[in-house]
Amino acid sequence: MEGESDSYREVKPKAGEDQLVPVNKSSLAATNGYDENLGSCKQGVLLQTNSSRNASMPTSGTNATIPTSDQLTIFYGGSVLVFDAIPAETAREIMLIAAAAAAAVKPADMKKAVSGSPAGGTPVLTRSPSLQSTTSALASPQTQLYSVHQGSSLCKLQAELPIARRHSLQRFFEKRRDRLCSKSPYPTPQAMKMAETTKPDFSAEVSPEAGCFGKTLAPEKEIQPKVTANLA
Amino acid sequence: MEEENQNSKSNRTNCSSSMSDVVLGCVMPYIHDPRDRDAVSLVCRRWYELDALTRKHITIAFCYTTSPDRLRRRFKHLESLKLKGKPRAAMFNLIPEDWGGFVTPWVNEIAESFNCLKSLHFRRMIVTDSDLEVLAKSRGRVLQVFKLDKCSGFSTDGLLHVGRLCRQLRTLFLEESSILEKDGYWLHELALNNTVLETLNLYMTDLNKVRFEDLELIAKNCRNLVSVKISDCEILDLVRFFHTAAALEEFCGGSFNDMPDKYSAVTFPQKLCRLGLTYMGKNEMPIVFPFASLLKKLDLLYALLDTEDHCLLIQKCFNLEVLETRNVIGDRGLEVLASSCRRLKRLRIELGADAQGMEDEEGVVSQRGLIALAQGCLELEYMAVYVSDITNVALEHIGAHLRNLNDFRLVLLDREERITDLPLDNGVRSLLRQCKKLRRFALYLRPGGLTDVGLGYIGQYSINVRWMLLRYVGESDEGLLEFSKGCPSLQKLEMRGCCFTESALARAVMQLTSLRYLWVQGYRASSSNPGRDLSAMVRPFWNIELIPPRKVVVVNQVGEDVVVEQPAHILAYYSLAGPRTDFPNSVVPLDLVGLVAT
Repeated sequence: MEGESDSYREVKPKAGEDQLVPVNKSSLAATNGYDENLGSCKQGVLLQTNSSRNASMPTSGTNATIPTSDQLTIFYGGSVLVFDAIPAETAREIMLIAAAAAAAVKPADMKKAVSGSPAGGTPVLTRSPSLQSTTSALASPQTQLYSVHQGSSLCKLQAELPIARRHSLQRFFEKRRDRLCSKSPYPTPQAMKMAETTKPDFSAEVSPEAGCFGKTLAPEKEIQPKVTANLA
Repeated sequence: MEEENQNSKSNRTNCSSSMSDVVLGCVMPYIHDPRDRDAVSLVCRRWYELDALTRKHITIAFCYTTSPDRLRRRFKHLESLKLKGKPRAAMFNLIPEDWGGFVTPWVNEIAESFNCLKSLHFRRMIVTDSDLEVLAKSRGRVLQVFKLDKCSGFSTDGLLHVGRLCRQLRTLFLEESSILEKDGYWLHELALNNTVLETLNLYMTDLNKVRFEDLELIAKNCRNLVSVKISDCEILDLVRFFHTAAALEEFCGGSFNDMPDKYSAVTFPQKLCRLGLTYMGKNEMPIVFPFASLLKKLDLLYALLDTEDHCLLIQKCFNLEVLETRNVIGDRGLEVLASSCRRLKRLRIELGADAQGMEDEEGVVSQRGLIALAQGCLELEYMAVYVSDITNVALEHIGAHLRNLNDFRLVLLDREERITDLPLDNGVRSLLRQCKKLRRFALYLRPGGLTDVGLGYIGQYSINVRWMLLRYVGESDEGLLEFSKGCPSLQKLEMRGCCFTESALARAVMQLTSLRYLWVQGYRASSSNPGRDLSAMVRPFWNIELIPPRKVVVVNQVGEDVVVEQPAHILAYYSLAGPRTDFPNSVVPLDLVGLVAT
């Protein structure tokens, strides 16, 4: 999808831009029937919009995404919107509208789709009300884009300064994840119960064959740029 | 009698002997409040000296405001010292690890001069094994309280010295410290050498090589053992420990790795009234039921309970005074809390994980829960809560009912696009106006959360507030300047995500009469020369530092490494010790004189 569209040019991000970056997610998530990666809502700052902010360096994400899926993912400021089963034509229409809107607002260019992620810790998931409102608004993509645009300063600011998480709790969440992953290969009744009561997507994690997050996640992980940086 | 009267009459003009030193010497030790002591020390030279001789405890709220040398010169006979280093934001991974706050110069001075020191508390500082060795060898014989609170830079080798040589320790506190764990010998040494331990805290340290046998030994030898917090250690291995520690009142940590029905064999010490069991789930929860009504403090931050579980448990804890949990408690859980726990004094609701499947659907807190809380738990003094939605009415309720609040912190999550009732100007005004005891206040919002008028209200009505943390408040520099006309007691201000310019920040600083410490991340920097517009706040004894923007690798909610760009920070503070001399590369002192000159 990315390659087909010629309404985008690859440019350096400029300060002061609102950047809308549609991307077609790979079929990684399709196996689970649900995009678990979406839940990641990685903390990278995809859109380095710094209209009036302290000088920050532009993000250096230049990773290719894996095309061919009917799932449309939009990273905008601090939010991630996912739409399943979008026909290619509709997706192109949405992108054209976005291109037009951006061109109308500023003559500046839009950045070509790159992977990496928006900052902000708000994954928009299938059962979240915000997502439901966006999927229902699919019929009128124009309205959707305008309302998103109005909230752009919110997204922008939230993207740059997401709510920081306490280190001790972060650590606990990591350990909790590890515990779920390392449940015995022969699920005890407790583990079985947990697998039943939690959402279907988790079954991948407690499955005996797969590693912690299942093989399907491995390619995604490799895409991530390895950057040496200060660890807080 | 007459002679005394004559003496006091003739000495009236000389205040230092209008009350004899003996009398003053008797009275002085009863004055504990640091602000009273401050006032006493300003009366005259003699009173200053007496205060210096008799002051027992000093808290240095920020270690770079003074020097070990100055401390020694004034308070040589100090018995208790608390030192804080890194900015609070370090607890949220926002500060470079090597930022500073090294204890070494302090430890060296302590080793050499502070002969009376019995209690030492380092918070958010960098400690090395060598520091621990020096301390243990020089002060180990007299040290009774030793706290390495969210510190880093040392290993269990350093703790070995502590275990071996600090035999008078009543309190060893290591909570949330980053410790390189080589083995568990240090605890064995502590177990062998100590018989007076009362508090042992290894909570959230990931020290997993400690042996439960050593815990048993400590319980056996230290009959006054009252509080134990450990990291992950199978609860079934602690059965004997619980039997032995008869005086135990507080226990946190442990872990549940076996079948739930095995835990019915676990009995807890009789006096246990403060509890927090890590990884406790719905099926293990019943082991708490027999003594739930005795519980005064409950820590569910690291438990695996959903909203329903919370309701079930909390309902039984009607003597609860302190509750810490995640927002999985939900509005429903708060309603149960409000109706069951009328004695609640402290409530902390932290942010749970966002990743789907990890937390309960019901696990959101909103105005509904807050209103119930305000109406039910009238004795609340401390309240920190992450909410997904909020209204002015909820804040008004808090103001109307919770008159004992001295610490209130509200974080509005970014989850929902639409918030029911913003801006919060009126609610905030109402709360501040009525909660007159408020000393600490945090408001973490989003753009549109509080107008300039609302920010002005904060300034106007926060008469006694000493510390504030604000995120996305106000709309423009006007708001900040209005705010800074008030806040008469504000000593420490932390802000994130401001829309304010550097020059407005600088002017605000100059207007805040009590301000001695400022931390800001996310603001409008000068486009041409970052830092330059801060020149309005250049003044003697005021240090200004910048942590420039930097890329950081963090682990996201699904366990993957991602790169985050963190905006710059400004840190400014009063200091009698001049600018820092131990900057790492990640911190830049602001030489505005140089900037202005160019």
